[in-house]
Amino acid sequence: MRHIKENRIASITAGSENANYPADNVLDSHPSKPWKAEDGVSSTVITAEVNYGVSDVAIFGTNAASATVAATDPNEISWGDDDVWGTEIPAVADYTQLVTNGTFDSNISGWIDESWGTGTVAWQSGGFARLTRGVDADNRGQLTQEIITEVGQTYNLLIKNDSSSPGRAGLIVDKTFIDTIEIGEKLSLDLEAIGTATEIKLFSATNNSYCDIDFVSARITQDSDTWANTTITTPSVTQYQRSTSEALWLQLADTIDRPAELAITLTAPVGETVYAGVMRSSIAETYGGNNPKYGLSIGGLDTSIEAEMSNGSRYYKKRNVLRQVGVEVLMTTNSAFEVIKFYQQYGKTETAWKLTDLNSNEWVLFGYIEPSTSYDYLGRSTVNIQFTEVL
Amino acid sequence: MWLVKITLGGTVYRVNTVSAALEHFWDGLIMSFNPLSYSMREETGGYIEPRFGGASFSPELFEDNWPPPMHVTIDVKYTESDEASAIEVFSGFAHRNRIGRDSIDYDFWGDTYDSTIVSTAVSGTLNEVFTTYCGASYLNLTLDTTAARATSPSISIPSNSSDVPVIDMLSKAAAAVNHCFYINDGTLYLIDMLADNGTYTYTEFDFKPVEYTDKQPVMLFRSGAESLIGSHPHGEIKDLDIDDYVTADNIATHLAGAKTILERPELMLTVPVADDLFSLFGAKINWTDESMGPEGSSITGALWVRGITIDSDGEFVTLTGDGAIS
Repeated sequence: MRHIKENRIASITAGSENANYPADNVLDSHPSKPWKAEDGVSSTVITAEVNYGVSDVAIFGTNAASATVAATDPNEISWGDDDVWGTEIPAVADYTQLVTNGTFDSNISGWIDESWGTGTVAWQSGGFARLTRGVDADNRGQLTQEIITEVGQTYNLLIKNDSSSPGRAGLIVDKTFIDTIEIGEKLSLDLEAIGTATEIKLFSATNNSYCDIDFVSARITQDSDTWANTTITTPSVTQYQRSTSEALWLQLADTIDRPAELAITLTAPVGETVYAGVMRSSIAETYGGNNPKYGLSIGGLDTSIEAEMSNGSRYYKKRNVLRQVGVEVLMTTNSAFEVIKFYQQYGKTETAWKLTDLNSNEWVLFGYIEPSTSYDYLGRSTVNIQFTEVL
Repeated sequence: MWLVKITLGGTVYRVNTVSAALEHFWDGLIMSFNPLSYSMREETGGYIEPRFGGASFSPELFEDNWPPPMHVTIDVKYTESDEASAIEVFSGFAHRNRIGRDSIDYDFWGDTYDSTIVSTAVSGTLNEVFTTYCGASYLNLTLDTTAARATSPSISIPSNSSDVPVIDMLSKAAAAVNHCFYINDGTLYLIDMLADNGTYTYTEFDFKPVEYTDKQPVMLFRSGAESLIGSHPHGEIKDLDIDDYVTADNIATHLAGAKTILERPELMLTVPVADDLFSLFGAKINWTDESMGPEGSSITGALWVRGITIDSDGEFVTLTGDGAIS
């Protein structure tokens, strides 16, 4: 039994969208209020930003017959790849830029001029800090800035010496010479902080010349992720859920424990316009991993209108019949407590559930639960749960 | 289904009694709905006047506009299929009535056409008078006389000592000559009450159980110097003000018309709401009711529709009017 309790999707966009049925509709709690692609578009990609972590994605009220999900880390930057470099520092959400005025857009404020001898520092139009050096190292232009750091944390430093510079630049961190930066070079290196503040010092390294520094950046380093670009191509779909609730449940191969970007490709049968009513994603709860005992009960809650007509005939206007599923699960007492705790915290809030019975049939439900439990065994409890789907 | 547009904070919200994915999505946030009813002002005809109802909405509708605004614009349509086929039912204002835990109640307010007045003498045929007062200087409505009497009766009204609303004057004038009228979506429809504005035959699968009620008997109808003996030897004397709206030589004709209408039983028929709601005004509905009387008996009923009332869940409508039983 898997359960998506909190929806971690912060924002969503669709590759194709009917203006009257926007992608945001999948974030509400109404499977019958859908996002729709533009007319005739049977397959498109929904991009979901997940702000915490994800292991499962559930989709309800959809005509998609298949779905794939590719997860990437929006904050992961391939610093070593020249293709992502430019004259600007790449914008990276959530990873704070620690350098003040690292792009020298209109001045060199935020930096301390620590030039030696006849060396000078000046702002140069085009967004550069020009460091000029005289006859030797004792007469060099030099800029310093101290950034706030955390001991033991690794930071990525990016520094570019513009290609128009006639001379090299040099880098000193915490009074230790690190490296020279050749003309046009974009230096990238990871450094582990040894103090709560780290001093970055740049200087001109070629006698009787100067260098133009284009930008300086410092951010926490993102580890490489084994889950990046994970693709699940086999959704967990059975005829049981599709016959009534039109739902898909995707379980990723790896649990992602940080913000992620999901590219979810939904594909409806050819000729149909793809749509989806509700989408939920987070790290799923498993409640001890137990599934229902053999024999579920299933019924319906009819919201249609009925009346008796003059001759005793029945007037019936079909509206929606909500599926109700009752299950009995033997689970650890701790898990039983978790179910009751969820009920206490969330009441009848709609959430996403996947049940797998002993015949391996999967039941995917979006609705609310009414649980009760009895502590029948040592360390194990019987939990009865009534699920009611919602519109 | 009902299609209701409400403007909240400059944004149009589309809601319904049940969620519907049409050209737009109509969210099922209406909890109860009785937008309006129509009833005839005068016993013998006149203005079939709307009485505005209201609706209860789910608090979810006001998620981005809390607390619910006091006063919003609203537009109500009805359709059986798609948005393009929807008929206009009501367009006006909704005024907040109650904020409850489970629902937010609003009353509807629409145009009552009371703002234009007249005091001068009026004369001409009924169609001519209505043409004048539907003009841009007065009610500014399109006039439809398709269902009016083929030979439009003459009207003669002396000048009033004080101003009266045009709609009142037209209502009384129409009633005097056995006509009624209703206004929908900018058009005034004038209907001859002694003719059938279309006929329909319903079966018992189409309507709920009917109650058959009669009016109080009238033994004498009077207007000005004219009088007409009723069909019953007992009952009240009914004084009508036909003489205030027609010349003396026409009173007897219209008094006879009034007698025909007033001696009919008053019937009510409850049927599912359909998108021909307004075209039913003045129509004759026939049915056979086998649920009445001893085994093997039945009632053949007929009803000329003069009023409609929509029930609280917006699913059924009760048609009222004068009828016939046999």
